Amino acid sequence: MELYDPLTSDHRIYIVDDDDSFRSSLARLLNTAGMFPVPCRSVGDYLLAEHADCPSCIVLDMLMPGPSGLELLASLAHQRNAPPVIFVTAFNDIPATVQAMKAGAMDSLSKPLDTKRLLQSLRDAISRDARKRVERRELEQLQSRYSELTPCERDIYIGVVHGKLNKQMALKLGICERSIKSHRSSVMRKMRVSSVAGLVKTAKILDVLSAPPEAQTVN
Amino acid sequence: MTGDFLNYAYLIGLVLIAQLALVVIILTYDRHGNPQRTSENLGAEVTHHARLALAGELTASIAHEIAQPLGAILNNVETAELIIKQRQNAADADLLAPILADIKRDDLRANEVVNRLRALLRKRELKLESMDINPLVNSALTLIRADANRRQVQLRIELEPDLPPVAVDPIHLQQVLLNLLVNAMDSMNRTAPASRFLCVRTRLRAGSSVEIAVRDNGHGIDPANACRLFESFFTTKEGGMGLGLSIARSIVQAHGGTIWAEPGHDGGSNFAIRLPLPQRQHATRVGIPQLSSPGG
Repeated sequence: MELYDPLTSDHRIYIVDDDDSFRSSLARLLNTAGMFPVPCRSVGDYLLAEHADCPSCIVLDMLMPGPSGLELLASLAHQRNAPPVIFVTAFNDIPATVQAMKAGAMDSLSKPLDTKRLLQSLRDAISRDARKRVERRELEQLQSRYSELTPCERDIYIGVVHGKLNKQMALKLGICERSIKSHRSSVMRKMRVSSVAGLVKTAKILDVLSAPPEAQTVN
Repeated sequence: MTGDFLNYAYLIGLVLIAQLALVVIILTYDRHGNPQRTSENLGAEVTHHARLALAGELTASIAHEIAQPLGAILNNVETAELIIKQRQNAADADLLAPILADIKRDDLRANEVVNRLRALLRKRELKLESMDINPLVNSALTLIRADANRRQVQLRIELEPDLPPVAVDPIHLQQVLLNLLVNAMDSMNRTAPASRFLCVRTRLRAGSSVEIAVRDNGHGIDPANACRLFESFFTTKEGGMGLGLSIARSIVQAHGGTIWAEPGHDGGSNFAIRLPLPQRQHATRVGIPQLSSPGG
């Protein structure tokens, strides 16, 4: 019965379905399985619901009065912190499933729901969202550290992660090698890393590697 | 506790029986026919296709309506099973587990029937041909002309010449047109015979789509019903099935087009179909519930 162990961390599962008995029966099932469901009658109800600050996912019905599940999915695709969506089609409709997966759904299930598969899928979704939230927090931290760098320090940051020697950077930026060294150590301090390898890792997360170094260093 | 579960199990059983009875009644009704919708003037082929589409739409609607409660019943049974496992009250569990297992098995069996009905539906495909829609509109009008005369309805026809061709399934689209025309005539039963008119118009809209509009001066659309007109099983006609417009919408949407209704300027109602020109047309198959709202 490992499958039915309650999820240990706090989480929310939004059930967006217009069919009253289906929605409430599913909420009851998830409750019994040790999860925290939030039933929503429509896309509007979901948007207005209180969104707790914890990992979450959406069990989304395809066809509803008002905005449809696919329309909500399309609008969530523009949000960076949108929770994963498990799509529910009223029947085993392959084109609709394809459409949902293309629109970014994490999984697609058909009614009647296979309980085991649903619970597994919900676990995956919640743990994926938890991971994403951690990554997002890391990124925000790094971004705020990066924003503390002076323009000159940023140039050196980019230079270092591209493997430039102090001498090369000194030549390019027109400052002496000694200043480069001091800037370089303040970059390491501000980014809170102890090695070049650590710095490269932050650069990868911040996605500043893609731009060619010349464009950023020479102005 | 046991009593509650037993009551619950009986209730579920009753609901299942009631649903099956409903299916049987509706299917029997369909087999005996629905004479008022297809008047005798309509060609035999068109009648045949209308009946096929009706059966298809009926199947789709029943499948959808029954799958929902079946899904809810299954969720509840799973919950009850879970509770029994968690409580580990051996005496109750021994009595209840087989009952729940039976409910679950029957629920899945009923669901299998629904799935088989759906498999029938999936076989309907459109056969698209690129064509001028004016001859199609004319042939639909030819079919209803005698009926219109009998009902003292004047036909006004305004077809824009040289329309660009659109990809349509002529038999299906003609069925949609006949449905709109017959509805329009039905709506004028209480209009004074001298002023009954039925206006059919085609035109090119914004260079991107072709529009067919059917206007009448009948009893119009009750604003309370406006949003339900295209729903399955919604009807305002005595003895109507409430599937004509629902089928019409499925067909139009399968062509990548839209269909909508609006009140006429001087009473009556106006139904319009807009079909995209080929470069914008993304045809899908009949039977896929579409997501755009009518007129959207």
